[in-house]
Amino acid sequence: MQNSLHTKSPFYLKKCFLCFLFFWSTVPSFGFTGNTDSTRNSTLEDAAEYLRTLPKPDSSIFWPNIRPEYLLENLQLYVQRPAYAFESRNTNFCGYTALSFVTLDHDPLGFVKLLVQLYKEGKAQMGRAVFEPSEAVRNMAGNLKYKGMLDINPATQMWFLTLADHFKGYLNLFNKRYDRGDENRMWAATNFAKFNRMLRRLFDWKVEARGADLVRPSVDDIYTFLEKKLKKGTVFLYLNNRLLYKKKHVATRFGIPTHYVLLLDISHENDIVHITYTDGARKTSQQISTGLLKKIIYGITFCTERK
Amino acid sequence: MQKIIYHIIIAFFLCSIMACSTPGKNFATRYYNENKEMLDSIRNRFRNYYAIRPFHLQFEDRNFRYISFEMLTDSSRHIYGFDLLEKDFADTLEKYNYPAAEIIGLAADMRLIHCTWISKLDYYENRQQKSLVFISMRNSHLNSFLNGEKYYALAFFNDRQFFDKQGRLTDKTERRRMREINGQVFYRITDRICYAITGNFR
Repeated sequence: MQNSLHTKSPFYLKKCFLCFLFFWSTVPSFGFTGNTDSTRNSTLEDAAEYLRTLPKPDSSIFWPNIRPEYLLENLQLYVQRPAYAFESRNTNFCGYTALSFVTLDHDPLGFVKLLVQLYKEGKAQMGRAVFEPSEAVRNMAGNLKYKGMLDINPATQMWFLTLADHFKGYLNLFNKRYDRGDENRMWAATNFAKFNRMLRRLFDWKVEARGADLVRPSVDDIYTFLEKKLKKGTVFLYLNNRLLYKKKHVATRFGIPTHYVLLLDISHENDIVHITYTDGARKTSQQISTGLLKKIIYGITFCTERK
Repeated sequence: MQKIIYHIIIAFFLCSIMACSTPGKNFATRYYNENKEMLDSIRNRFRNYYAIRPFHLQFEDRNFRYISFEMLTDSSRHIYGFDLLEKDFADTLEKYNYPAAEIIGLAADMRLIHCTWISKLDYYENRQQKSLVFISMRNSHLNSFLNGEKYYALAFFNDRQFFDKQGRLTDKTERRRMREINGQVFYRITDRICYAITGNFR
């Protein structure tokens, strides 16, 4: 799954302009800002009960390529095997995946109802965001292929495409309208400021952010910082995935963050840090040096309950 | 004088073209045929060991000394780093009930042909789950100053695939649609094995 910033722009000027916009648009991300809440509004059992009583919906005129039986099958997956709900490969949906795990965990019933409403009416509201996806997106949902488990999860396709269609950041400036294949391109990319904005619009939480798209957060002891924040709330990391996996194949590589993950646990032993995070369907745990941890993290988003 | 300048310009253009070009089908097919026995053996052994306990294996460095070993379960993935010169790798494999000697042998053979990554990829056809073995290799012929580093990736399917006239892997139901693996179009070597020259090694 995975690279959020596939910079495939063919024009040098476009890149220059993007660089300029980056500095202009990410400034608010440096300090502590924002809003959220991490109490659970419902349980998986509530959602399971709702799905048991939900009659099979008619085929939707808004989502012509999503068959109702597959939609229901996918909604059942959210309840029965939530870890698999948002798995995808070769897309720029990682930002949406990371926040979807929290959405489902926070209010499974609300989330399932939202998707049913979106399917039936072609529009729905979550938090302060009113989704009314474009026709191009509605026609594509259900038809995405070669994306791993996402191929057989039309509700997740509908949700990711709707999020990408609704929220826009500077990375999406030159590709705002969906065309086939755009899920791998800049249309779906998520810069750090956009990611934080999505959280603030979707949840009534207090959202704090450190770091930026090309500048690492100025935190002296990043391990202690993350450990402290994780005890108090939900932590998302914006990191350089290529560096995390590729390590030393190439001598030099321009460092840019490409991936969002939801941090679940962090501990350390001497100079080695054990981090556990959700990445696609699997909970991933990995040992890395403190030096590499500092090198790969470009953004830290921290969400807590609003008092 | 003018002639010399023309010659320098032409030489410069020729060098640029050579630096930009990547080896094509000839290189890929030749490479596969030259290493066929080893590649098929790596693929078959990987499938057998994967069936015992799922894992993915990656060489992290250019000298093929450091390994990243991913232990997989249904819902989790544990990534460990090892130095092949130390004993930890074998100890850890034994601790987690992996066939240690066999996997170390597999890693040694991967190292011989500069194979950086091996994994099993799931995909779906008519909502049915299927899988392929994905292998990528480093090769000095594929790296150029201007193009950066490229990998030679092989996909081993279990059943017959379909290709268009140019040898590109196509979708089984929509023959005019290219079937991508890791976001990349693949080309035919045999009806079950395809290749791509790609910047992504996994």
